[in-house]
Amino acid sequence: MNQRRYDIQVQVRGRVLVDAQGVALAEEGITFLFGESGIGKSLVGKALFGLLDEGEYRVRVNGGSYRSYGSRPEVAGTRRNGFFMFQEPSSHLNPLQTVDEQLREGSLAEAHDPVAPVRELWKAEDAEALKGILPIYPKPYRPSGGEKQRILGGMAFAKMDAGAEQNLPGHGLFVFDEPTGSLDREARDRFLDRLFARYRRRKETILVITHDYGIIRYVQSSHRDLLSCMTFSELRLVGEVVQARAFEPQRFLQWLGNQQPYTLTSGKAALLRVESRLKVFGRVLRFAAETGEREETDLVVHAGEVVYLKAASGVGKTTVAKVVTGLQRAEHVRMEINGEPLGEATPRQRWQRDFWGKQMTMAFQQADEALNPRASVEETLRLLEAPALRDDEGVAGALGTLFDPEEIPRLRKRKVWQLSGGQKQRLNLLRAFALSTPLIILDEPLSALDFESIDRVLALVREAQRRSQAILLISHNEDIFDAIVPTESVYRLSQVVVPVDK
Amino acid sequence: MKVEERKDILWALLWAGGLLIAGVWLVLFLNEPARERIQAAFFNTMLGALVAAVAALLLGWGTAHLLLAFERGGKRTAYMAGTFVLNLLRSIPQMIGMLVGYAIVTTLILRGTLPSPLVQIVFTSIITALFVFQEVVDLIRERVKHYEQLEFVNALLVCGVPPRVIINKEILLKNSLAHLVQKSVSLFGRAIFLLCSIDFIISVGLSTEVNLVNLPTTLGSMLANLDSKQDILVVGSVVTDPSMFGSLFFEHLQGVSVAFLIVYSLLCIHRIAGGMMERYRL
Repeated sequence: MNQRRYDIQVQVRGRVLVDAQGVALAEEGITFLFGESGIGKSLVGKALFGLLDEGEYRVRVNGGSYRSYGSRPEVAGTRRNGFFMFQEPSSHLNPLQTVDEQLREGSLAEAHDPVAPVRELWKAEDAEALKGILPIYPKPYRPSGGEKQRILGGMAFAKMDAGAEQNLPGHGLFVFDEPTGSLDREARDRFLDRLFARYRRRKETILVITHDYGIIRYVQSSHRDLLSCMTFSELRLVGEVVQARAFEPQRFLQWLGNQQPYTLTSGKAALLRVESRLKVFGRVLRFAAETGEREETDLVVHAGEVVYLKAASGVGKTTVAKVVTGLQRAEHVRMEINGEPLGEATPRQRWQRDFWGKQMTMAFQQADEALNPRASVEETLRLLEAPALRDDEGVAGALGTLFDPEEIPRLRKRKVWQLSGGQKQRLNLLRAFALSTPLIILDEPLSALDFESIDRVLALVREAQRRSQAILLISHNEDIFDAIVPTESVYRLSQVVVPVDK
Repeated sequence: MKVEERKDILWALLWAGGLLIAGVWLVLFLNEPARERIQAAFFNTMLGALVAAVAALLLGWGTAHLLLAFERGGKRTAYMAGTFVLNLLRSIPQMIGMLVGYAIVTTLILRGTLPSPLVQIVFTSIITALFVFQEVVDLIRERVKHYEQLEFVNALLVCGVPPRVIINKEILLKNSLAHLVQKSVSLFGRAIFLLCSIDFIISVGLSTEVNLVNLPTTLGSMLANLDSKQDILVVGSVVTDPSMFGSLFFEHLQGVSVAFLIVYSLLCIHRIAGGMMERYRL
């Protein structure tokens, strides 16, 4: 397996967007590129594929011009035979063409059956759902993010199939930019299975850009035979330069194996209880215990307990979190916080007076949207009514839990909009932990983070638990949380069709 | 940043430069008593417009907060009443409202309640503000409503940050300052226009009660002055007799310079506000 190394610099109007050094790409192999969000992974992928517009960007690859890079026969050839699956599926799909038309467009039509690879990514029992999607125009809310991702994955597979069927000379470059970000573990694994099956049939050059380190575990357990064809690397920001470093899969696996499960100190009181079958947006949602027969049960979180709530994509995990925090009005909900009954009729003022920032807080899923972009890092923390954050030392101490000490001085005055996605996510989480409320709800806490930050966040969770704080985790990062949350504290959320009032 | 992307700064400099040149010209070619009157009129007009803009901003801010509090607190009757009063004020033509306000000011002056010119200026400015502050209310409510849809407001609420802090600090100060400054500049220009127009209308004699003699000199009242009117009429004569053009800048300076100060200031302020809209993409 031949490995090429690239130094890539992308500028726009004299401003360096990314200066990445030593990015490795395994020819006719599978390269996994990890790293926290906003560090420049997508730009690196686009630059390698030759997608960046020279009119807009000034790109240097290995010190040479972008034009000379793009005109190399091996680059032009791999691009022609390859496919780029964009991170944001909505930007990839044409809203004025039906999904079916787009699946049969251009070189995808060369595949024997371009719809078949998409069908493979749906569960057999959901085949009818796919039939309903094919004739529609991809508008923002339909298909869902997960469905769009599977459609795009299917398109890439159709292109692979076409190459294999025609036995094209030379390999193609297939870039998958966060291909499973909106998928639950089952759908993600199905995607990986199909991708690797195609790779076994025909060796293409595959670059998977992701921050889902859990993929390593799945590869290790189910596709071990391909490990010799795989390269794992991680992008890390060192000063102003992004450095690509080899990432040893064993490092993650050992770390995961060393994680001690969060255990509940017995005898703690129930802090949060949410009755199963709450109704919101016309849908009835139920909780089930992950243990035994997966019986329906209420969601109960004790003081000092870490509870993990999981569900398939689109079921409504975030909606439940917002109902529990009182931000989203449910049509029907019965719950208790610290023994105080709350329901759909509880006025917002009561949540504000008695619960928000006092009994509970929440770190939202999208750090980008959960922080005021025009506030500085320091202002974001100082806004909280937390005595520990009143002085400079307190702020520095709080930042030190999730940021490198040398990073802190220049970070404090930086506006949120200037931070990378990973830095925003860390600040978003810090804000929730800084308040020391009895209950903390964390919605997708590990998204956008690199391995080191994941480790730090989990340590924070453990520390909060030691202080008897209760944590409700909502995440599709099952590889990690299944390993560290005891099964008796895991709940599964699903949708039922029976209305709650019958 | 290129000059074409900072039109507001460019027009502010042009305004200052134009005023400076006009000032130097008046020092050189206008007699001292007339020049002092123009200076006082300019100062009074600008001060009045500034006070009107600030008062409109404060009134708008207070009213918006009140309406938001009524809305959030479920006080529907109070909210409806507040909105009704706001819309009632909005329905009154600004000129008519201000004329009524001026009548009240004159009555107060005649009764001796408003003895100092500064108090008179502030009072008339507040009347002006009463008929323009609705725009500030609309702007603030629109900004708050927009940001309330965004996740970061929810995130701050759940962190226990009080709504008044979120509205004032996070939404208005950090995310709407450019909007508010631009609105204030635009209101400043509007106030100059309204003050000058009303002073001009009053000066041609709406009633014996409302008399310019009772009010501080402004650019509008200066323009209505007989000398100024004659100077302005000469501008029309230049069309038929171009040889009179040169005399405009030496012999008819009072009226022409007052008209210039009004028109040029309004133009520049309008352009500054427009430039801000472009620069900050408002």
